[in-house]
Amino acid sequence: MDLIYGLLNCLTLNNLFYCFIGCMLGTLVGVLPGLGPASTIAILLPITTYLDPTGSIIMLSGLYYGAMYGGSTTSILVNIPGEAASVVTCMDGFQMTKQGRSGQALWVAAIGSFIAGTFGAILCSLLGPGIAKYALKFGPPEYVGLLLFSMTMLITLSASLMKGLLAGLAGMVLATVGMDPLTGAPRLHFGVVGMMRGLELVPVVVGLFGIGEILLAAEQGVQNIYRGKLGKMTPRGHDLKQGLLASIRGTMVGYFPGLIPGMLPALTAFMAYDIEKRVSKYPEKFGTGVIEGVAAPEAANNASAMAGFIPLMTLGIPTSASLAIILAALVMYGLEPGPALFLQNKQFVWTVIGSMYVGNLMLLVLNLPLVGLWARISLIPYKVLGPIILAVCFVGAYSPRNTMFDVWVALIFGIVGFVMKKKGWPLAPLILGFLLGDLFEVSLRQSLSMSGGSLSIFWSRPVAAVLIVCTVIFAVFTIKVLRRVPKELLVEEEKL
Amino acid sequence: MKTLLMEVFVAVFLGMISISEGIRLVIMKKLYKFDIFGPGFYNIGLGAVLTIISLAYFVSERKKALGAGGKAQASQPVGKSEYRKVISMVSVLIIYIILMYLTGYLFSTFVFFLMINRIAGFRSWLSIAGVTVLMTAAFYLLFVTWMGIIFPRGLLFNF
Repeated sequence: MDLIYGLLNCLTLNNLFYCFIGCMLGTLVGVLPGLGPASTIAILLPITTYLDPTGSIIMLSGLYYGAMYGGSTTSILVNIPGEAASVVTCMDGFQMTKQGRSGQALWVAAIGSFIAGTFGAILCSLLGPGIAKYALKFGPPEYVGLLLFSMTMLITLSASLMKGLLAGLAGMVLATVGMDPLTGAPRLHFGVVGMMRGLELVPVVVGLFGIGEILLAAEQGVQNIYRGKLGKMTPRGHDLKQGLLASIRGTMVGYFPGLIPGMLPALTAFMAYDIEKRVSKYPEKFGTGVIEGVAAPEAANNASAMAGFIPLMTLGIPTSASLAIILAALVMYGLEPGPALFLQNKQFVWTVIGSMYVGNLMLLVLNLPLVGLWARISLIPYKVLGPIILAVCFVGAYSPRNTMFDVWVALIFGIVGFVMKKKGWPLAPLILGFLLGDLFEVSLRQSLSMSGGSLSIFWSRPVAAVLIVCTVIFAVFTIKVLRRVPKELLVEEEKL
Repeated sequence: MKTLLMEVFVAVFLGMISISEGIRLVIMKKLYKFDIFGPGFYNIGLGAVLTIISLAYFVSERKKALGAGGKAQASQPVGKSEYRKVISMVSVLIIYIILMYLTGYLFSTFVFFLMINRIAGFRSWLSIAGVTVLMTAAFYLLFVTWMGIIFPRGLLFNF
């Protein structure tokens, strides 16, 4: 009933418009190599404060999963992944292009993405309320467990474990700048009035991702072009059957790991490709233009992207950098992410879930007939995009608090972002640490106040204890999985 | 080696700042007795972990470098002109912020686009002027007229 209500609400002209804009921008971002969904969401975030919160989240969500659709286009056509999650798609997708079968590859990527996206939206509707109801019983110790669990993501957000941890910790230190949330004591302000108010998330994100990326692009030069033919679009016979089956398998492989923080779409895409190769009757042909090699990873990365909305909405845990910024958007609109969201803002949650069904349909329509247009959009050079993005970043950093101090912050973090990218340091863990640092500190100190300073509180409460044990297990598991993932893929994930 | 030392220095420096701020807050603890843990200990803990991991990172990277025949991390060679472009962009952004204080949004945005379009790669001044006017107008209409964002008023004049 709630879902029908949400779907009807989503079908209002306003929400349909935001959903369409989100999907369009997402596809565009996915198509343009170098401009990732996290950066774009960060750049758009301040602008959305002037829109209705439901419409804004519909738009930002559409942008996120839309980018997963669009990312395959350049992977298949020009062997350049628009998204890190589409790196694996290059392996067989570009080979299919060389054989004049790019139309088929694009078709199966779009259909696979649609199957995965719709499956993800259905599970989000079914699982979300149950998880949220249970999570309502959480107190500060459980939150400490939960936040530690989500911090396992630091491991996968970087090609180097140490670098990820260091960046995450640096983010947590930066989160302590300003008034202490419990006592009001000012910290790390160095006598600067602006710093006493703390560092605002938006200028930090806009600087690191937006300005930093443009500076890097300026240094590296203009992006490339596509001038080829798509060939026949719909696969037939054996290819069609294999493509659809691989899409379903990819969806299953991508969805459930996608619920775990740190299991990024890029990793699940790799896992899906790996599994597909193992179950195939002709594993030796993988890498030479096999349709399953496109369908499975594309379905997997879309399924993971959709799965990420469940922990985000029910527990307030982001499983990727983009979702971390959507989490920041929820906080910015005064919507408390976590279990209470399902009860206190029922209309909002179900409208957003409803929009996922509509958004996936829109993306299918956008991606199949318009694929030629998207391919040509990768022609837009940075000399046009760069100045516009920089000016938007400026407004973006200024507008949340209407203070020029935040513009200086964005500029400084832009330089930091540029240097970090240049030297191979990951940005996402820094943002994650910055975002979760505050909540972690409050929950930790509240828990210790409850127990009179004893750490035993984390073991005496079963849920907290289970979450901490899960953190250790998943950390070990993730490190093991990462050993099987090619280093280049992780480096690519860092870059985008 | 130089890059590694720099990276470790920044991380340790950040850790040390956090620790020293934590110690300052612990000394002032009497101000907030109701909180057992206090903000100071959290900062000390964070700073300590950051410093320890930084040192561990240094040791592991050093070992790797020695294992690879004593060669330290080779940084990518970057041409002077490429860095010049980045430095120019940053300088334009600084000028933009300062101009905003002095002349308001419209004039400063016009000057910003004029300079940044040139740096970004437009060659002909005619096309730069055309693109700049279009971009400035679009930004003004979108952010000031439509969204109603109030930008700082210029000290010298306000456009």
